[in-house]
Amino acid sequence: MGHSLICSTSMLLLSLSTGLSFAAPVAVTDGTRRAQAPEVTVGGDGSIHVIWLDKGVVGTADRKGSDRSGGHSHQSWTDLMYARSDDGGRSFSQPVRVNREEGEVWGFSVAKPQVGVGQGGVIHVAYPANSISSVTGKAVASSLYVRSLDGGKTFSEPLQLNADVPGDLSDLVHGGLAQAQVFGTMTVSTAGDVYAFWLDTRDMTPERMLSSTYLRASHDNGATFGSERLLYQADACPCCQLTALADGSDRVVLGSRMVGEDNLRSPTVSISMDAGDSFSARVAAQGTPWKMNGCPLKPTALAASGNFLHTLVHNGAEDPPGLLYSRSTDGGQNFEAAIRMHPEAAVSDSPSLAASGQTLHAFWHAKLDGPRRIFTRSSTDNGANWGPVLELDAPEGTGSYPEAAALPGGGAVVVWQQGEQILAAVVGGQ
Amino acid sequence: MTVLRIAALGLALLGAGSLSGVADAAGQIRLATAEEFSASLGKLRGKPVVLNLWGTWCAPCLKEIPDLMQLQREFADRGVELVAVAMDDPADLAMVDGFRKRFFPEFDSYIRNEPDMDTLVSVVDPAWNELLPTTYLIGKDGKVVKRVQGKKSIEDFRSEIRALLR
Repeated sequence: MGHSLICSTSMLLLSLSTGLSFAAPVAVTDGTRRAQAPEVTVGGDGSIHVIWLDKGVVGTADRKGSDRSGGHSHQSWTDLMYARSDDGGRSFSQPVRVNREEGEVWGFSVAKPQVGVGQGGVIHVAYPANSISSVTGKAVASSLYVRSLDGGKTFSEPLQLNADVPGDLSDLVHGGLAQAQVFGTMTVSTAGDVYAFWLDTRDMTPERMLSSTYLRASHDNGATFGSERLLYQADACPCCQLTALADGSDRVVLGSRMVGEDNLRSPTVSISMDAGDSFSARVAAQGTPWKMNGCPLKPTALAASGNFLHTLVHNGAEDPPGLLYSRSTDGGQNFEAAIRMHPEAAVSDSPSLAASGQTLHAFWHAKLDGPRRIFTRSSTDNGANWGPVLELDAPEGTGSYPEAAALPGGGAVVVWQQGEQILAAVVGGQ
Repeated sequence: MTVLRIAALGLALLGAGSLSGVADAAGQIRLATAEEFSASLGKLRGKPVVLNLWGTWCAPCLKEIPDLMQLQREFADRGVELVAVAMDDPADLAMVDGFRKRFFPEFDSYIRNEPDMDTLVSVVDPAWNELLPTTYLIGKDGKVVKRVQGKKSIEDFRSEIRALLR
């Protein structure tokens, strides 16, 4: 059972059982619009940057794209919004639309756009978008990249990261799309590198319904990108969003769910030590083998601090199904035995990790005997020991899909969907 | 299993009222809120139910739908009802219906009319982990007997339904 928060002031809540402090939740969106799929990152100056999908006014349906796709409609026609906080998460700026073409964004809570902040405060965003293939003329979903050089006031024209490719898989994938280069991720290093990955259907066949993993990298803070490169061919779960992280060195860590024999779906980590030029063979995180021929929609949450590499993943082979934490102390070559992050939950899912020094914060949504709520646990010794499960202070109702980023000083900022509103809170730190 | 106990409680609370504004003819896609879905399931009390969650984006789902339709025909004389729910966005009703007409014209399915998938599925499984396909075998008493995740063969489903009927 999660401990509830039992001490409240106007801005700070404190769990007496752990001493972990929580700032009261702050609204990033005003609740009048259907907001979902938040992502967050923290700049080198401590600024907090949040993006989310905007699906229109509450109570209305999505925009439809049938006029652009020859009568074919898609699952998702949304806008992507951005806001920032320069006061440690106490308030957020007015939202700015990231995408230039209204309603072009494809995505949902388990296929989220990504945001990062690089050198000089440049804001980088990668997102999936609806488009028409220049090769086939068919409706496809592609991965786009934009950046902001003015602190998030405006964003650049989008760059399509993936090539348009032949082939029409519209009978097989994503509600009739001919190809899908989505479920991607992006990570930005402090050295000015931008790494954008995506899952690609171009090698998919009816007999082998798996995605390939592609990368496109920039080493000049997003000004230019190299060519797309195939990393792993047709062996990844097509609906399990990729994750990645990079630091100021040339190390890049990629998290993906690989599909092995008999549909064994393993959360894996692979490492590049040469700025994305090459990646190691994938190493599976620990946990009960999970064989399943379906769409798990489960990412591999990552965090790293030096040689400590942390994973938090949903495992459907557990009873009840839930999140398993596993760590590597040797830079990702081996992983220790996994532990259940929230053993008392009926189900736990949607993991996010944030690491700063030896401090590690985990967030997720889980159900006890009511709707989904947001929970957290923290470790101050690189994941060797964990504090109790705590439920975040939040309004009544469903809280889901948290994402977190480390703040200077050992704390973390977490954003999540509360109903159809995006909230943010600061947890821990000095 | 905790999941099944809670689900049984949920189904025990189902009403027997009709689903407002929804026809009973086969071969349709129909919007359903959690409340409407709960009421609709309540009308099936006394029959074994195979409840299938699917999505147009879920290729394994699409591969098993013909098998489930075949089994519905096979076990029709035993009163087995196939209930399907598309987890696509409710705004995509027209797209999902077009998809159904093209590939499974006789397929009868609901589509969630809730902002998120979990709200509707919680009617039968409060601990669903958002995985597709998921199929529930529900007894005549409205209790979930088994949760099956991932695509299974028609033989596997046939065995599950026979076990449900024992």
